[in-house]
Amino acid sequence: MKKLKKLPFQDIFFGIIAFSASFLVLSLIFSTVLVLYNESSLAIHRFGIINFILTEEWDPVREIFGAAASLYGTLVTTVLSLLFAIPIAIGIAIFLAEVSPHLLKTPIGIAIEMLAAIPSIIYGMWGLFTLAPIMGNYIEPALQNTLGKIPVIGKLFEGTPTGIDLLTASLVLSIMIIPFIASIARDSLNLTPNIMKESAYALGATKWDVVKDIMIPYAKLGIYGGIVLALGRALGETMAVAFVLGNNHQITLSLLDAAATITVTLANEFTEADSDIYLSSLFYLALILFVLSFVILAIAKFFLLKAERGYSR
Amino acid sequence: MKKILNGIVAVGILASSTAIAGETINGAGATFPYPVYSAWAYQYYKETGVKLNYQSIGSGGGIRQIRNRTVDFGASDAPLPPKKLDEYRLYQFPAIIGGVVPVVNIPGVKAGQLKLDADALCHIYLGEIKYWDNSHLKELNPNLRLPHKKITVVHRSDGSGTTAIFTHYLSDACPQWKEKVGAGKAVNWPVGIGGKGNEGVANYVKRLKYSIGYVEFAYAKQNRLAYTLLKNKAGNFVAPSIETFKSAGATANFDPKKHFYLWMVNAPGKNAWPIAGASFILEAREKKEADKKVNKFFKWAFENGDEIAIKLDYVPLPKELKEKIYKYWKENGIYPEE
Amino acid sequence: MTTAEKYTKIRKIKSFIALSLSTFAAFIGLFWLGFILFDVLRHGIAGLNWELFTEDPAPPGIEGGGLRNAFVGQLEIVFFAVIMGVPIGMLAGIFIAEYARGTKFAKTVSILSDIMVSVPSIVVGTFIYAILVKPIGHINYGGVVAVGFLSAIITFIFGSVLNLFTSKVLLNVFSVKSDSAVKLLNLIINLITVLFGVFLFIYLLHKLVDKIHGFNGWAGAASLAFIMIPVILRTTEDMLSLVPWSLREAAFALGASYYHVIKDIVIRAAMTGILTGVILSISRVAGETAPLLFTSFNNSYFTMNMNEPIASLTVTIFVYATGPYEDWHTKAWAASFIITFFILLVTISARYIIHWRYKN
Repeated sequence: MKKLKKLPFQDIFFGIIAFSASFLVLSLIFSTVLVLYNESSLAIHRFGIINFILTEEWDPVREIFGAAASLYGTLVTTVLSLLFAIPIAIGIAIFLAEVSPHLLKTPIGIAIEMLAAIPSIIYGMWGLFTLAPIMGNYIEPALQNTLGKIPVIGKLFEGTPTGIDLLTASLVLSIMIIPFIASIARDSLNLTPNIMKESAYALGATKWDVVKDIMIPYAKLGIYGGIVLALGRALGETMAVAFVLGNNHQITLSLLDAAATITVTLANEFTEADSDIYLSSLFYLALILFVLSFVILAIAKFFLLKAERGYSR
Repeated sequence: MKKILNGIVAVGILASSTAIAGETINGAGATFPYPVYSAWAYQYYKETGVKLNYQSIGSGGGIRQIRNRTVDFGASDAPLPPKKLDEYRLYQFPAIIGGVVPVVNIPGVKAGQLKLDADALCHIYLGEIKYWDNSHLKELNPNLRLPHKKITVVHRSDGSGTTAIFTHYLSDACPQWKEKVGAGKAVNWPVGIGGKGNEGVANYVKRLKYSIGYVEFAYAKQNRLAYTLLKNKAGNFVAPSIETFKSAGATANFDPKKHFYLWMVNAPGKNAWPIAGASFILEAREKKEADKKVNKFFKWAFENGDEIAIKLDYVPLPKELKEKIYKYWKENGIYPEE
Repeated sequence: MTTAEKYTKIRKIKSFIALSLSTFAAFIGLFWLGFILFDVLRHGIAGLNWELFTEDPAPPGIEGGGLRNAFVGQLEIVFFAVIMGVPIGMLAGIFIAEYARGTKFAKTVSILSDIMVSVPSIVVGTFIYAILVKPIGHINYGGVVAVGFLSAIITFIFGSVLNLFTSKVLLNVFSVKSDSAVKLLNLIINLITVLFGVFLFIYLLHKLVDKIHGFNGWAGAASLAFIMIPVILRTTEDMLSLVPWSLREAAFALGASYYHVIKDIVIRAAMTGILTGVILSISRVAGETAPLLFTSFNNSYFTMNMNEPIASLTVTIFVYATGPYEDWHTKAWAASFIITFFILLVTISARYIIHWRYKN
């Protein structure tokens, strides 16, 4: 108390309020984990951990629940969307960093970031009303008639092309995450010291040589970080996928089949789960997703921090 | 700064006041009766100023929300057995009768043209009948040109009383279904894509060619979907209509002692629609005052809403059933006094 | 041609192809953007009319009506989310960037903030449902935890103020000098604080059992605030760290208290960055749907009452788009157009502010 006498009243009061705010933030995160765990405990005790993750069944009638089908859908849509997005995003990043004329850099940069600002439900609507019919009526039958005939790969394109399936959902998701990867990649590429670029040009390198052998290796870690961040975003996306995924709890090889992801399952079934074990299983899914996102974030941070340390060398 | 603070306080007061907002009754549940409850609520609001906010989230949702008392009443097409009602401490009574109809999207096939029977429906939903020109389907429809296209099955993705009625019918009429899948508000569907609510299923069937789904009749009519004819227990092919729904309801014996628990599928009548059902209202037993408010609305609907219901192709409850319900209310102290 | 020249030619061709591909990629990105915006524009404008803003929804299947309740509801939810989220985020950011700079506590809060950012928005919805929607009256541990934290914070503030009051006023007025007397006073104050806390907890628990009961607008606002807080916190922290220490030193040298230094000097310097962060986070949550699905739920009527379910534009779009009625689809597009237009406007202006500001 003697020390407090020295500081003016306002300081302490303000400091207390500010501290409470940070304390609140701390407690919010801890509460989230606690509450999620508490709500899922019923399901955790009944189904265990490994068993729940590996069970495909999602049967509300017989009250047997498993995360495998939802996890499968989450993983497939996420991985596929990354596969579609990464080449385009890196291409955009290279374009903005090296190819684009100076005047165009800002407007095109802003345009790409507008993609990121569009709310996910708009992606969902556009996916349902515009993309799905195009996929179902033109692109998917075309894929079936070409790639579908190849022996092993063909399995990926079996089934009726309705446009409401894993492929369309992954495509919509990929468009959503392009700007995330693109902006971080572009920023990382731009951090390459000019002197390294200029030395390479002096040795007669072409622009692509410089990009391929100087800039990308330099920006590698940052790009990885960006990709992993986008992965995390894709993992937790609900609305963009909910409209066009089809909500079928199944593990299927064909990309033209309906499936389910954890987020979409939650959105569709949360307010409607009538038995306690049903609701608890849904919370269990939410908990698993939370842990997954946390792990992904940790990995992303790892890359980004390493990149930062590398740059300050 | 002060002005901003004052503004915030003003909005805050506005936000918490029930007075300005007017009275609201919150209900949630079945998508089956959503069109008729909304139409009734719209009229009721015009006449009394009381808002009935009904959210159609599926019967499963209705049951859960009223169990948690997060709404004033729940609505479910799947009636709860007396034991569950005692466990959850709920009252239950029917409000409207309707029919679940299979709908198809086959180019060239109009409403009321395709003939199906329990067997066909069952095997389509089991994924065993895969093409429209399957021999059994051709047998039932010698006059229709059925294409060699794969059937896209559409079902519900949410907890639905419509599904409960539909699967009860399938379980009742088809032992294979009963064994493999069973009946309930949400089942482990062997095949198909899931739509959210009657609305979602109708939406998918509308968009996807060569698909089949099941919806409440009002949704089929409102969205001009091609419903099918079904073979009923008596062996006749009937079309969904008020008459055939009424016929199914005629043999239904609702017992207030069992809180009106009853499935109306596969009714024996000559002209009965085989997938008919009632939609029920669930109320919390300990909230008598709130229940009276809800019942005031339903009494109004029972006395004034028949025409609206018929226009939307629902069957209003027969007079005797309404009397039974009033008596049920009186016995349980939830009769709305004037 | 010599081998060197041949290789050079190959490299030049490779370069041309690779860079053309990257230009092509940029075109694809722009193509998607244009395609989506064009569609939203095309369908959205077709559905725009005055009734959309002035009338409430008609029953399903009946044409006409509008989305007035959804517009107002959305504004109200976002408004309260901002009131809840911005002060907490900023204050916490200020605390760890200023008072607790460099401490382990600050690092912990920073890292945990990042975790908060990565929580999927639908999981936020489930969390808020468990603590603010599910009735507390049936031993909802989540709700108990929530009330516990609320009372803990209020008690902490109460205890600190009491401490302050004692140290400033009582000790001076009564000229208490002996150490043991001070220690005794300390003990009494802490006891009072703890008792206060316990009673507050019990009182709040009882009071909130009736209030926190069912879907309500406050829960919706809270879930949006949850999403905003870590973003604003990190932005504030980053922006404040950018302000050179010398600025603060100069102010201290002039005899200002830390509070004044922060309020008048440091924040003013970082204001643009912080404001941009705040505006961007608002535009982010204004378009969120998933967390509102099981918190503010939905309402077919116009209401400004946040104690009940309330309509929001995003949830309405979700419900209308998945329904079968053409009229609903048109309205959903119109609503999508309006939301997209606003969010893009806000985002671009925010970015433009940074660009303009930092160019100088």
